[in-house]
Amino acid sequence: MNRREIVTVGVALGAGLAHGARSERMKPQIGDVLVHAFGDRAGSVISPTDVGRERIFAFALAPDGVVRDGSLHGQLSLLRVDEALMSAKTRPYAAGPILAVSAACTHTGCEVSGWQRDNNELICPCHGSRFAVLDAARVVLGPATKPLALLHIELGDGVIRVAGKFSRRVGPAPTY
Amino acid sequence: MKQPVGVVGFCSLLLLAALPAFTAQYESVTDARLNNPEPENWLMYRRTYDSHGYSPLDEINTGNVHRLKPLWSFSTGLREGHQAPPIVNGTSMFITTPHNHLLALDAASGNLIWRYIRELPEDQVQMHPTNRGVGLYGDLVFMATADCYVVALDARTGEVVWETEVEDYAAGYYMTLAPLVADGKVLVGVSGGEFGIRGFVTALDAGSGETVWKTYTIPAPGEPGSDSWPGDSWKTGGVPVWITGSFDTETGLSYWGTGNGGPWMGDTRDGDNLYATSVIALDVATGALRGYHQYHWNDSWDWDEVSAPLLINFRRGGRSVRGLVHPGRNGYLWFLERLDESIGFVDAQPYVKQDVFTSIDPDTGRPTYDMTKKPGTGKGALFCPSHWGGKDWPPAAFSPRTRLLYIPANDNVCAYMIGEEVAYRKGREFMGTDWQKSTLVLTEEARDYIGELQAWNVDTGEKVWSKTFMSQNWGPVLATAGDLVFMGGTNDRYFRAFHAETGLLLWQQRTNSGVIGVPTTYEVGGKQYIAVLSGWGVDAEREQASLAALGRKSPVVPQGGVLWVFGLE
Repeated sequence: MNRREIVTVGVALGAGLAHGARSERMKPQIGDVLVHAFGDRAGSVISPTDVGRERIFAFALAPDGVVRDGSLHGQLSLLRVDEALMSAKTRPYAAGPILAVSAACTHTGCEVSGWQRDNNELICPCHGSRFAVLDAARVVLGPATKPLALLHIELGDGVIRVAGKFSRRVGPAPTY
Repeated sequence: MKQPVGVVGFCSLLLLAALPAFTAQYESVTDARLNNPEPENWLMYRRTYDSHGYSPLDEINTGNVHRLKPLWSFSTGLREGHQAPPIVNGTSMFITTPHNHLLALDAASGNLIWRYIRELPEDQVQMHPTNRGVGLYGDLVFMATADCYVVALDARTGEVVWETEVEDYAAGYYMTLAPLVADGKVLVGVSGGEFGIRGFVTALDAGSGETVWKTYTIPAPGEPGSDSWPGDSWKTGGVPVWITGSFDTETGLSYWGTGNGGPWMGDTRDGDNLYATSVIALDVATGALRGYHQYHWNDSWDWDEVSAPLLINFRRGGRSVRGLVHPGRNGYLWFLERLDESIGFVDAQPYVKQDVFTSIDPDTGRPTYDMTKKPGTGKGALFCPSHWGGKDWPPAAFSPRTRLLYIPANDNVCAYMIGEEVAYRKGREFMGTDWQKSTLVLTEEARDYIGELQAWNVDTGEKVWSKTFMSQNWGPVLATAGDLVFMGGTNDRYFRAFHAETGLLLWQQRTNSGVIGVPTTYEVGGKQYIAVLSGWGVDAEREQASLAALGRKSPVVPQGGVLWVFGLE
């Protein structure tokens, strides 16, 4: 991850902040824009036109320049799908045909890295759970029992911006 | 990084009634006691350092086991894989659960004494939600955690005395094994062979938590064996250690099994990949590598050989061999010899259908492969046994009375697997296996059985008896001087006792869930108890799902952990 290319000085890394509250480990916040997570373009802003039928992994870039790449719970799958096929539960989170789905599986928290564009399913490699992104990422095949979280995004000025919160808890439920 | 208690703020602790009695009765655990545990106690993962999983208790025996009844039970309140052995010191019992709860119970009454709940990071990947139990030393109890710490608690009160970060969970490291306590140190290995880790075993001082040594399972450039890894592959080559090692107190050497190389496809890391899929001998005092035997080179099948070998002196050709015995995930039963500065090969033979090895070098034990059975990147291959192997992690047991080794096996399940390209990203899955195209494949004989409990005479190298099950078998094994062998592991939720000499089924109890816990036995007040956790999950459940996808009928196995304790009425 090339966070250091982007990070401005000392932001939120100061002493006294709890482990989970560091800016780079926070979930995407309203107003953040989405950037490439990995590869040669890691850290660079994603234009809506970059999002095609291949899945793009994204992190959120905070207004202060910090890329929130410190946790899988901040990682997103950016997908372009057929807007007309989205369910009513899905559409409020989408920016036109573009969807941002949490990459953290709700089963045991693995990265949901598989993408079958032919049937619009995300697949977890760890245990094979499948999620239908057109229908609010509901479970098509277990062992997961809960849908992936959708992130509310919007388009603007050649960027994809975070417009709201996740649709549900990111990752697996806690244990007690 | 060792953290003093007080700034940690990690634990929740419930301290309950009955503490005074519990406190008064707790006897400190010494090296002498670990070396030669009293018959009534079960002080470590397999009870003794030789990993036999055998108890000299015999009140419960072949003549009366039919009268065995549940005496008490205890719900953990948690889902997923309950695999820990109930560890018993006097009247104190310790069990661990998935997500790192540690419970202290009164071993006779079943009263809860205290409960430690580790607060795990919410963004941690829990690929294998389980924990395999505690280690004991002095007045402390040790647990290796999913966020890759070792935590030491006061056995009497559950208060955290120290905790040490072993590695960074965000880089894919985690721990599920029971610590090996030896020579005043707490030894642990790390999981993460699917996440691009570089595996190691480390020893912490039992009193302070300070790191004493750390030995990687993959040599760095310039170290012996480093030429078996190309380029930078050693940095992310996996080779986890996720099962407790054995310990030879005469030589001071501990023996650890090692897991798969990463990514899974061997063609991503051309070479033998030392010390993957091996047994390694580590000097407990220094961590120095004092010998190894690689069961199979350049693994491409996810055949982790993490089960530690049993230390058994067996007979071969008229002589007694200071042996290591290992029923391999690769489907071969390995007989090795403990030598001063090396590990010698004695013999090996398949104990389930295995179609990958075409021969075994009689001097070195190195197998040759049918390369059509070796999957690679973009190259599919069908092979037996499957990636879950002839025996996965559930430990085998050995009875010195019968001279039989009891292997919880699986047969007739093969796999078709094909690799895909994968790039390393910190803390992310790094398997490189195309799961859309990979699948289990059953042999014709799977119509008759998959799971199996096999008994092998270690002196003749011959199979003496076998019990088969339609279900896959994920049951750890306990052997006792009552000439009984206890095992669950099947998806019908039964926990069973077999005659150690004949395999005859003598007793069974249906439980709440599937029994994948390590059974133990102990004695309090002159009465013998059998204890086991029932709580289906992890790979037993995953294999069930994969078998169901092939159309194999399987009962629903409910989740939720319960400790069962049995005795004669």
